[in-house]
Formats: sequence, structure tokens, C-alpha cells
Amino acid sequence: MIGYVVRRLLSICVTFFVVSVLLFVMMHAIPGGPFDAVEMPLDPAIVAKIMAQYGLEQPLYVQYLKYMWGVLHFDFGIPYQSPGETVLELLGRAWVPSLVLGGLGVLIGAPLGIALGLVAALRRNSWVDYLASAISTLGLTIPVFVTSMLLIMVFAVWLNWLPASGWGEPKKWILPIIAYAAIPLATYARYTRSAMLDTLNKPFVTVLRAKGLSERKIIFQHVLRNSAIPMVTVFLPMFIGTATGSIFVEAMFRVPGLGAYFVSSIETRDYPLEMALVLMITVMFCLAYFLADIAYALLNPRIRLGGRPSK
Amino acid sequence: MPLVDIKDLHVSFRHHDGVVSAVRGVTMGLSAGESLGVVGESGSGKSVTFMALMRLLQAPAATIQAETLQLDGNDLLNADAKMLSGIRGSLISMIFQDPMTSFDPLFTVGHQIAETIQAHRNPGKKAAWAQASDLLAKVEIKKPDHVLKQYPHQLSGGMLQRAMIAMALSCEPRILIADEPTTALDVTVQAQILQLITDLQDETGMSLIMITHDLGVIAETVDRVVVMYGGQVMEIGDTVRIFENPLHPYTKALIESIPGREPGKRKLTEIRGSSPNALSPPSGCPFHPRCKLADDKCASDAPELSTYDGDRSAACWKVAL
Amino acid sequence: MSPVLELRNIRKSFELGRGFGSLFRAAPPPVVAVDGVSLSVLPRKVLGLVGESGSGKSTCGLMAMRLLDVTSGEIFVNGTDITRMEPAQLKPLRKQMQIVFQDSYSSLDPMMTLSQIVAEPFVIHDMYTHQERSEIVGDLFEKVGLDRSYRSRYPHELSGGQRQRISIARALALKPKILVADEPTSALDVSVKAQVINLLHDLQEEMGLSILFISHELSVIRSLADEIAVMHRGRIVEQAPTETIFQNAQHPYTQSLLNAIPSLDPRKRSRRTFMSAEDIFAKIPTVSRGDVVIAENVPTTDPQLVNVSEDHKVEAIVQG
Repeated sequence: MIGYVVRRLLSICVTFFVVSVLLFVMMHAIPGGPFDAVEMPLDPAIVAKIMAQYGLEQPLYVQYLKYMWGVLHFDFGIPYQSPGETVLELLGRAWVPSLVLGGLGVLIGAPLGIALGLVAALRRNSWVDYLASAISTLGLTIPVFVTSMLLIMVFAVWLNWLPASGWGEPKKWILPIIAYAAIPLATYARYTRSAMLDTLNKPFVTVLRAKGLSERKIIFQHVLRNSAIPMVTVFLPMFIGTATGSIFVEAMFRVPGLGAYFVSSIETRDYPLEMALVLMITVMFCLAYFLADIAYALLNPRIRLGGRPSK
Repeated sequence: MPLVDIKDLHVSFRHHDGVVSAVRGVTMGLSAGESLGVVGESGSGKSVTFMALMRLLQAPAATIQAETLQLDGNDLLNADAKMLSGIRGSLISMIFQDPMTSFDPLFTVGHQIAETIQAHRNPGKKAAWAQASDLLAKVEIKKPDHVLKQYPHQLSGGMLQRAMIAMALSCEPRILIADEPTTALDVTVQAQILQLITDLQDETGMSLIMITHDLGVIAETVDRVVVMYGGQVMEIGDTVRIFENPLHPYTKALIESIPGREPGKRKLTEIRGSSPNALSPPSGCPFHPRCKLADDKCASDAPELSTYDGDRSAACWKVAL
Repeated sequence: MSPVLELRNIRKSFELGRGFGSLFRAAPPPVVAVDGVSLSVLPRKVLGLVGESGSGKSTCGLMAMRLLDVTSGEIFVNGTDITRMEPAQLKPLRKQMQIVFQDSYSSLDPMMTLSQIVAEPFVIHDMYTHQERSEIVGDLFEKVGLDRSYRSRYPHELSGGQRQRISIARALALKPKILVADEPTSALDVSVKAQVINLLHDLQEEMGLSILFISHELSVIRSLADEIAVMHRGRIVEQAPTETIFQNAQHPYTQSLLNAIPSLDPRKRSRRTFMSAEDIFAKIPTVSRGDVVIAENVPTTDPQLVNVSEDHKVEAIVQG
């Protein structure tokens, strides 16, 4: 167990390292630099001075090593586009709306999706099933900016019930969260349905019926638990993935979250911010899959206990 | 009154290619304490008949029709969910082919036996586990208390099938249906499980329905045999007489085609052709395309099950006594 | 008569538990699936290899075909050592040896027509023109008892017995000398099983095949094999001509297999007793060193496969 955890953590470190190198190289491979403003060209001498201040004139590997040395001390540098604060301070500030949006979106979307998938599986080929399958197909295929636009048109423009954009007060949260929740809802509805149907078709369910258990007990004690195991591997990564927010939803509703910085940090060659954003996501995804694997093993006695049949 | 009374049972399944008629007019009965073998190949309808009796086939995919479908006087055809779960496991139990997939992998064997007892009787949890332990001892499991705490994947197929039998018998049913209970097991374990089932039947006086494709299993375990083919009953009769003097050409051919009956490397008597397609079953007698004796009448008219010699019956135009 | 296929003291061990399961426990020791098996298949003979699941019988079949590498030991085909041959050297020899599996459904490519499946060996070995291939495939269909009109059909359109016929036709396409049949009848219905056994019977005589017939069913082996080898926990425990096994089995495990065959006479039904694994071990026969031909340095504690008569080998404990 301990060996496994250590191996997994090491592999996360390796992934972290590889991603950081690739990203660093790719970022610097993009033509242009952070201070090549087209409209208001700066004096070359001033640019050189700023470059020297940020250490950008040094060889790439030196820059990389300096950067990583900083990362080891939780120093992610200063964002070029907002030099008044550190990268960590900017992330801490901008992450809050994204976390609220993503977190509430999943917390609302996932249970609804699971419930929908459950009913669909239990009432297979009924109207509920068809409705669920329609909702999940639409949720997965319609781009989120289209849903966002529809929501704004209906609830903000026509009905005038809710504000069209902004963030400050909770009333403004409603539309972006609904737009956001559609994705986990659709995903979970689909996964739940197929996991449930998979379990319901297992021979042991027939045995449970044959020994006289009530259908309620069969579903809630046995089928749900068995279906939960494959779900865990989907649930955790999705939960953490969505906590970083959505670029499109944030843009549509002008939410001052992290999303905008993904775009702007590439556009402005804001190397420190871009590095920090991508590395953060990398670590979160690695940890999410790691936790999902551990949870999977803990839930499944075959893996938890191991052992082959004793004769 | 017979314990099991099935009259003119029809079962069909909705399939993406059409409607599959799995059982087409099956009539059979079983009296208390009797052991009945149901023999047939895959697609003969032997399992489906008893899954239908226990109402384990799920609507709307499966459609069941029958003149009578009774168990100890209870009309199962029109039974509601509550009545069915009350009957299943307490009046009639069933064990299946593959013990490895018959248990929920997430619960211990003990939990699964105890929950069966608790579903029908109301002892405390402790009493149910104590009963489960006694049951495992009864099916000749050596360390019952240890095995109760094991998860299914920690036990061998033979052990699990014993535990399955213990679970099926936990509420002292009057009928045990065993659907190919040994097919997934090793040869030496097969014989032991069959012996265990016959011993338990003798001991408890319950009725036994042994569903199998293996005539050897029939010869070893049951008093009376139903031979099924293409969703219909071909022949019913006493086991000894079926083996010594089968009435139906299919029964006869089936017995003759068993390998290794006689010493020496030799060719077997084979049944030509292949099993009927359940989507479009043949007209007349389902066996006629493969039957050596078949003529035009066999191809056009389906023979009814008729009685011969008082206690045996066969569905064939060509029965020669 | 020199054997066409010979396995000399082959062993196979598998490493287990390297995967995700090691999260909660130490990796178990390697499992020895085959523990020093020697077998010879003689020309135009059928050797039946019987054993229960996990006995290592299928592993032996795969190693004999070089579909799985041995851990140690040698494999000879017509006297040529093929144990460590490179794939390129092995390819021409592959024409002489073919295998048929139990699960005909998963061993046939669902996207290919039946005639493409049967002709595939010709494509692999670059043999015959298109015209000739189609002719030979037609003949093969006839040989295994399938109508030529089935040629453009797909595997899913066939019944289990018909699919097994296709597997056999494909195996026979290159006119092999050796056929390994791994439980070819186990997945088949009773009425079709006899057809496939008879087909193998006829083909063996017509084509002069040597067959290693692997099965868990002694009764199926009885109707097809000249000689039977009984495998138990990775080792051969008894080997003798078929009827000797049936009439005069010496090893307790062989006896327990025979005891497990159901009688087909309901009048002779009797309550049976069974040997446990410990009983089997306790009843392993003993022979005195003087009575058998055996190397000097053989230890006297472990059971050894010894000749109790000219053509009858039994695993026994050597004393004295």
C-alpha cells in the first residue's frame, strides 16, 4: 500500500516535471515576447531593461531552472499583466468565483444527473428514459456558449427575471451556474444509466430476486453500490476538473474568474501566470485520478483483499 | 393437487431482429417430494420455462402467457410483486449455473445468506448469522464461520456453489430448482455437488427440478425426465424407461450421441443439422428437419403430447412401442 | 516410431500481482502452471490430454505451438528443436502445426467472410493464385461438412457447431501434420458435439493427422484418443493407452476423474464417496527402486513418473 502510494506520488512528480518542460519550451517558442506591444512600441532600451529585470535575456535553461527553483519555494513569480501582485495572490483572488461557479455547478448538476440516470435505468425504454437520453445528448453536444446565450436571452432579455452578466451578488450567480451545471448533469446521467444497466444485467441480481428480496432492497443495497464503483473513477476527476471553472461560461457571463486569464496570459505572453495555471491543473488532475484509483480499490473487495480462491 | 402446475406456457422475447418464441406450449407438473429432470440443449426453453415459473423474466422484454401457472395453489401468473418476493426463496428456490457470478461481489457470503433468512423470517441479525453457519455446515463446508466472513472472490467455484445451495435452502423451500448447477465446475467437483443435492433432497423431502443438458446428470439424480427441444416438450417419462426405451426419436438420438459410452476409439452416432432458429421455428414437429424418421406429416402438423403405457408421454407421430 | 511433436520437460511459471492489486498486498510468488511435462505425439496418433481447469493443460498446448514461450524445457517438431526459433525461421514450420480453440466465436474475425477466414493462411504464407484459393476453400468447406453457399457469410450468422467447423477448416487449410485441439467441443451442444468429434475422427484418418487433443472430459477423449495423459497441478500423473486408463488406472487422481463420470444407467445409481486433495496425495502409489528403470540420483521423497509397464506411466513414490 505504502509502496504503491509512493510510486504514484513519484509518477505525479515526473508528470509535473515533463509538463513544466514542455510548457516552458512551447511558450517560449511562440513568436513575440511579453513587451512587444504593437500599438505603442516601447523604446528598445527600456524593453531591454525590463527584459533584464525579469531575467528574460538569459538562456532558456537558466530561466527554466530559476523558475523551477522558485516553484520549489512556492514562488511563482509576478504576472506581467498585473505587476502589483504575485501570481499566487492573483490566483487566490480570481479562483474564488471560478470555484464557486464550478463547485456549485457540479454539486447541483451531479446529483440531478445521477437521479436522472437512475430513473432512466430503472424505467428502461419508458418516456423517462427517452427524456434522460435526450437531455444528456443535448447537454453533451450543444456547446456551452450556445446554452449560455439561450439562458441570457430567455431569462435576462425576454423575461427580465435575472441579470444577464456580472458576479457580485448571488442573484447574478444563477444563470452561469445553470449553464455550467448542464455539463456534469448530462455526463452523470449518461454514466449512471449505463453503470446501472450494466449491474442490473448481472446474474447476481437475478439471484437476489430469486431469493425473495424486495425490488427496493435489491436496488438500494446491491445495485446502487455496485454501480457506484465505476462511477467513482468518473466522479472525482470531473469534480476537480470543473472546479477550475469554464472559460466559455465565464466569458459569456463576464464572471471575473480564472477563465479569462487562460486566454490573456497566452495572448500577452505572460509566462509566469500561464505556467502557474497549467501546472496547477496538471497537479489537480493527477491527484484526482490518484484519489479515484484509491477509492476504487477501497470500494472493491477483490482489489482491497486480493487473494485467489482457496480450494 | 400437484405442487407445480404448468399448462400451455408460452414465453417470447422482444429481440432486435424480431420476436423470439422461447417456450411454445409447455405443459408439465410436479408433485411433492418428486425429483424431475428437465433435459435439453441451449435454446430448448428448459431454463426459460422455470425462470417464467418464478416470474424472473423482466417485462416488457419478455411476455408470458399460460392457461395455468401455479405453485402450491398460488396463481403466479397474476401474482403481484409482494406475493412473488414472499414466495421466492421460501416456497421455491433456484440455484444457477455459475456460482462465481451468482453472489454480489461487494458483500460477504454470510451477509448474503443472512439477508435471505431475514427477508422471509424475522430473527435478529445474530440469529440469522448463526443459522447461516449451521447451513454451511450442512452443505459440508468445513470451517463455516470462516467462510461466512469471506467475499465471493475468495472462494473456489465448488465452495461457492455449496454456499449457494445453503442460501437456497435457508428458508426450507418445498421446491429447489437447480439450473445447470454443475456445468461451470470442475469434473470432480461436479459429482460432489450432485451428490450433495440428492442427499439434501432425501433428507428434507423437498421436490427437485434439475435442469441440465447432460444426460449423465439426469441418470444420476432424478426419478422422472422431461425432454425439451425447440421450446416444446418432446417426451416425459420415468428415468429408467427413458434410458432403456426412449419413445421419441430425439431422446433416442440424444442418448446415442453421448461420447465415451463404449470402449475404444470409434465414431459416434450423430444428430445431423443444427438446433432450430428461435426467430423462425420450423413448422410441424420442431425436430423434423433433423429426424431420420420424419415425413411430410411431421413437417406440416405438430404432434400433441400423447400418453403411452399409462405413465409416459411423447409428442411424435412416429412413436413405435 | 519417432514422434512428430515432442515436449521435453517443459515448465512455465507466471508472475502475478504486478498490477494495481499490489496496492494492498505484496506480490504473490510466481505460479508454476506447468511443472516439467514431457509428452510425445506419434505420427497418425491422437494423444488425449485430460485435466481440470488450472491443471496447465491448455498452457502446454500453447507452448507446443510456440504461442507462449516456455520457462524451461524443449519443444521438437519432427526432430527439430523449435524452442527458441526466431519467428522468421518458425514461419515455414507453422504450416505443419495448427491449433483449434474452444471459443470459436472469439477466434474468428467478425469482419471477415467465412471464405476469407479459411483462405487467410494462404494469404499469410503467400500461396496459390486467387482462382486456386477459391477452389481449395470450396473443397475445405465440403471436407468439414459446410455447404459451399456459406462462403460469403459472416461468423455471427453461424451456429456454434458450424463456427467450430470453420475453425477446423482454417486449421486444415495448410494440410498440417500436427493439430492441437484445445477443448474444441466443450462449448458445443450435446447433439452437435458428436458431429465435431466424428469430423475430427474422419479428418485424422483421411489426412494422417497427429492430434494433441486437450479436454476436461474423459468421455470425449475416450472416443477419439489412442493414448491418454492425465494432468494434475502442472504435472503428468499418469499416461497409458486409452483403455488401460479406463480399465486399470493406477493413480488416485485418475481414479477420482473416472469416478466422477456419471453412469448412464439410472439403475446403477449409487451413493459415491469422493477423495479429497489430501486423500489423493496419501494414496499416491509406491514402487520399489528395483522394479522400475530410473536414474540413480532420483530423490525418494517426491513422486516421480515411472513406467509400471511398457506403455503405462504413473507418478509414484520410489522406495528402496
